[in-house]
Amino acid sequence: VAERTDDEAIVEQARLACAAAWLLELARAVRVARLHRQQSPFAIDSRAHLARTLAAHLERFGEWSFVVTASGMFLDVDLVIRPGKRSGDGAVASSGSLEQLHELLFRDGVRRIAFPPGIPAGEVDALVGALGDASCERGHSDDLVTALWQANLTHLQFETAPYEPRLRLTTGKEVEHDLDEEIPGSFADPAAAYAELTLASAAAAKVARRGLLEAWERERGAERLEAAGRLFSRLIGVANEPGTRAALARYALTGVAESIAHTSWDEAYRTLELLRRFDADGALTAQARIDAVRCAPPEDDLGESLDQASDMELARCFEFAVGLGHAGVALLIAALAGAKRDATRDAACNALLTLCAGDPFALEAAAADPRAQVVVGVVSVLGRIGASGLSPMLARAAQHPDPGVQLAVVKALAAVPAPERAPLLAGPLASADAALSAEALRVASLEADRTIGQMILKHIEDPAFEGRPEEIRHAFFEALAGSGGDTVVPALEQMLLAGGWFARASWQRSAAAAALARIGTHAAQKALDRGLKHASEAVRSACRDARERKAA
Amino acid sequence: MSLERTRKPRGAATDPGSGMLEALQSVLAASTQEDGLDFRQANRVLQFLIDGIERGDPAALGLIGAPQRGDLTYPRTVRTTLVAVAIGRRLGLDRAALSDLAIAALFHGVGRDPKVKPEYWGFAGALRIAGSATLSRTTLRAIEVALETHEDVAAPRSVLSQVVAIAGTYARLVGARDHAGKPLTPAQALGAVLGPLATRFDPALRAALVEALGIHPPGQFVGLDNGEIALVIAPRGDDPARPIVQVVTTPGGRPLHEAERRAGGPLPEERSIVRDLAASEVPGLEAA
Repeated sequence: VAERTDDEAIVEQARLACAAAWLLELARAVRVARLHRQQSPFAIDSRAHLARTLAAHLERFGEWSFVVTASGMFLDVDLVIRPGKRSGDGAVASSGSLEQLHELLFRDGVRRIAFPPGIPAGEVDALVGALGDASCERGHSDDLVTALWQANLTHLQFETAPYEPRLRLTTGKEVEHDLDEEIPGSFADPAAAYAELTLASAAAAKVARRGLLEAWERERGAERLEAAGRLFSRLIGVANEPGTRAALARYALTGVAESIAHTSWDEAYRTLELLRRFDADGALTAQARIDAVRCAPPEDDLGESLDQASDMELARCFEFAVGLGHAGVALLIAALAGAKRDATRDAACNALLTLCAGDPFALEAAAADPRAQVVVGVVSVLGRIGASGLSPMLARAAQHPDPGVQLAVVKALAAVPAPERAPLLAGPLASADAALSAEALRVASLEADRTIGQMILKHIEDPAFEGRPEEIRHAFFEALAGSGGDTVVPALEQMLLAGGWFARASWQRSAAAAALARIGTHAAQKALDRGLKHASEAVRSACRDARERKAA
Repeated sequence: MSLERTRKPRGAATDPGSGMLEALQSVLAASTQEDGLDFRQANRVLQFLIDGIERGDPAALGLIGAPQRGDLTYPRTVRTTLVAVAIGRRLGLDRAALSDLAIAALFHGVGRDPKVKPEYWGFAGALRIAGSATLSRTTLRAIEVALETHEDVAAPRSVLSQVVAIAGTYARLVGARDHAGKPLTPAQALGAVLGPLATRFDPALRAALVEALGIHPPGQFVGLDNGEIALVIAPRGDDPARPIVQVVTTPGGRPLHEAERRAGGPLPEERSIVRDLAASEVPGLEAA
């Protein structure tokens, strides 16, 4: 007896473990359903595997009946999913998708869900689809229970919580009698009328019914947004007034929000097109558009979805975001935050560029975002927009500790006017990060600027400068030549001539001569001429070399 | 009040009862207020109703004939919904379609407002729904039906609008007063739809209406061939002429006492209905 009990315990443990593992797989499949097209190979594979696994488990263990309570999910009486952290009871700790699965079932009133052996794969598909739809926070008119009910399931069984309607009192006086027609003075005999409708001409009755059902099938098959467009036109036809347009715009926007929640970008785009018929400039739905973007999946999920989307879907997503106007910025920033692929981020940046080219200050908050990948993207966009007044945003971004952000900021500085650029170059010029300081020097040398020239000169004159790598030191001189102009010629000549009669060859003398040659102005040439006539061969040699290299 | 549903194999008994009626009226009551229409709540309530009607459950079908207190819009709208779903069921619509039909029927009259000209009720109702719903197949259909409900009867209508229109016409006529001030019986209301008003409705819909309600609709008093008077509880799908009835008087016309009353059931094989009666012809109900 004891041996049999042990066997039973082992089987029971296996049953619980398999059930918990399958729920986890279900939760993942729901996430896939939410983030990917229903017919994507990834989604199809996910559902097919889920159904196969379930079928195998049910064949081995018999029916699974899960009880859903506030404190977790139970397989019959054994806890398999506990919300929150793992405890010592053997239940799987629910986190992320699993927690959502439990919350979703409980929130929508499912209290028991049973999977009998032989459940068709189509019913598992329906369950995943319903959970995926219901998992979007958007106020969908169909909740999980309704979706499951409409699926007409034959095997999967579920029980729901007692329904508690909200009882209310009416305050307004309703229309008590709305018969807008005369009460007929005579009445047909129902039996005779029915006989005439059916028995007298059975063929005609069948034709009439078939015609009606065919009409219904045509209506049912109509594409949803096309049907919405036609209906909206009819309503506008009744009263083309601001109130009508506002109501329809708001209604259409709920469709946009739902499409965002489902990452259905083509549908989102087409619904937005519908919305534009009533709200071309977005004035009626400005705040509602921002709210709609909040329906997007969490950033990581959004990023994953976009990373796996086709080029066409990706393009549609960003086309839609641009079409959203100002509200689209938040969606694109979320995409930047969540995406892992460079192609996705690049596409998001391109869309941000299109969206913010005329109003770069729409990116102000994002420039101060704590996530490095967001700030890098935003700064690169600012760099491509390039305008006066962007430096405060770049300054804010430059405070980010990530070296990648700081490098991106320096690159972006190339697009702002030199006077705004100078203060932001100070830090990178002093940086020990060779890549950062090299980029700062490249940007510094793009055009002459007295402030930048003096800043570089100050670095060169600093005693610690000697300790920096040689290529950096040369880069400083090149940048000095590019940015300093005539204002630094006296200082360079002083370096060239340093040592007087006893001057010896040095890298600094050569670099000063090369910088003067590169500056090439009359004052710089004069300084080189004086060097060529200097008593020291080292000075003369440095000037000759500089002239020859310049000529070459 | 609460309704509890358990998924059981098809055919399992359920008793939606008057609780469902109250729940539906609760949804409608909410719809008269400023806080919008609750489609989720309506959907959940209507599922009980559709389940019952799909099964041919007399308790659900019998709600069509539940007594109407006063001349209020809510009971009439609820009756419209019940009849529309029953018609849809007879036409073979699936659950999703029945669900949309029920929602459309329940909210088809939300634009009725004494402060609005009647010709704009449809438009007002459509905007009212649009203003409190999310864009979906279901709500688009509800908007369409609300708009078309108050359009000219000759205007082309969607199929769901046609179903709601015939159901609504029947529901409005039941209990309405004729020129002499007498309330129309369910059979008279049905006769009006099938007779003087027949041209408004597709023949297939008229046939489906009879199949949904029976020739003697729920709530109708009928005289039996043995002299008894019975109340029609619900139609029987397989025979529209022989409904489920509850006898309310003896063959001599004496009202049955509480203790004498039997539960309703199919009209016995040996019995037949002789004629439809007005409430005023039923002893004990003359005042009605």
